Amino acid sequence: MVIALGEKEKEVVPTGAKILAIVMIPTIAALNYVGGVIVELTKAPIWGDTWATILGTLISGFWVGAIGGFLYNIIMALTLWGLPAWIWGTANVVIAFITWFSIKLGWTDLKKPLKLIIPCIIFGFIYPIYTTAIWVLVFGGGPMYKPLPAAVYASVLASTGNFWLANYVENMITEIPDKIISFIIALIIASRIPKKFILTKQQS
Amino acid sequence: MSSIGTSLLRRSVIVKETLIHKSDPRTKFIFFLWISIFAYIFYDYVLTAIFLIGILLLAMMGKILKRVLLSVAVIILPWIAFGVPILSVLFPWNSTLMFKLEIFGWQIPFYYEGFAWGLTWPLRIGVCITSALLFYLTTNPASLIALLFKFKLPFRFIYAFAAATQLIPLLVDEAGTIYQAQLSRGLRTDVGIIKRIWNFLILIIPLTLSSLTKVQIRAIALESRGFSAPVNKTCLYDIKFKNIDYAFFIGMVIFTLILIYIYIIYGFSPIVHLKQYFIAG
Repeated sequence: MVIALGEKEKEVVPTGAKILAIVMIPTIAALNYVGGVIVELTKAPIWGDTWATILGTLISGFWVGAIGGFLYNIIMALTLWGLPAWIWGTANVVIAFITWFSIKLGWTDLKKPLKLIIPCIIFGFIYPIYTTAIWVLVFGGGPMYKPLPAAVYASVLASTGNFWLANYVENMITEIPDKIISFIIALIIASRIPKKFILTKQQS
Repeated sequence: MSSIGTSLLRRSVIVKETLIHKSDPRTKFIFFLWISIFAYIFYDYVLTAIFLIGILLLAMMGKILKRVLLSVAVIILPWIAFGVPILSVLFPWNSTLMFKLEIFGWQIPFYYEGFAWGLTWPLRIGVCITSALLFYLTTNPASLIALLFKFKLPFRFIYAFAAATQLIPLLVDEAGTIYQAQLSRGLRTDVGIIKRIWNFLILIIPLTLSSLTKVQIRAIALESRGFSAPVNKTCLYDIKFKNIDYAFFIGMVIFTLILIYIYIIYGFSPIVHLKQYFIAG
């Protein structure tokens, strides 16, 4: 296609997949947000605001998932959560990376549930190391404002006296259900999405 | 990460005719950054509380106090309620005994260091959250987009940001419709944990499929308006500094000088004289 701009003429490359990816980014950010709202409605025992990052990575590739997740946190930081919350956007990039890594190694097949154990371990035990670092260095650590994590935090701190360990265990017990459930949910949804929206296959 | 306070974003901007609303979004954005940085520079719960009260006064001027107080009540107060008692007793760097409380025959000591830590950090975050709300709730979406244009951000990012903020209330409404539809089909909400996760799934699947269908429509609409065309993008809405903005900037400069002076003379904890802890596990 050629667009005439006065005397100059510029060729425009057809951008079907590209424009779809650009439109997908705000959708991922909004779906992350709505996931949190639905968690409030259903009282599900998760945070529910990172599943769309995983879904975005599964269907549109690493960059769409990572940018969509990051954008969600930027919006929340500029609106409701305050400036320091932008740092959680980097956690979304880590989630997108773990998902992308799992896709590349074939750990995202629902028909092979044993292979799903590895990403679940990464999400449950390794990813919380990163969130603990953010929680302590940017938010001061300490107990969360939910009773169960706060109780776990208090008991670990009382028994070990280790501030970092208490924060890690507190993060881990919230991340294990949240990320594993989010990962499985994203896999289920990705398996039901019409092929025309799956951009990852076009890229590979 | 939590979705606490989500209803705030859903309701979006509050349209009023106040000085805060009339001021330029750049001024409010710079104020948001400025106060958030100072909240982190000082480790002093009295000074941080003064920052917070200052923002609440501005929120009152902007007639958004109720909304801002709601977020403080939902996020900051529970955080303090959990943090202060636990850290007063268990904080690893506790050394200054405040008092002992007898509970079921046990003498439980409460220390100052943990108390101060448990109070200062939520207040810091409180300052950041309330200043963000002051910016967001008093800035209409058109001004917000104009602000991003003024900051010369890539138009694809501006589109993504604007589209996400527009999509959120739409998708929340759609989620509500799906929820009502599922309730009328017999969805039970007073169920165990596993069933609640299942409920989450049956609400999220139709919502995701519906929003992905709209992705294609949006992509076609964007392309039909020349989104990818190699031309300079312009903004329909322009923003300009007014007298109130200059007055605000002068105020910020004066307070910056005062706070720098306080920092140099009295340190990072000028009122309550706390020690800095290097978190080392």
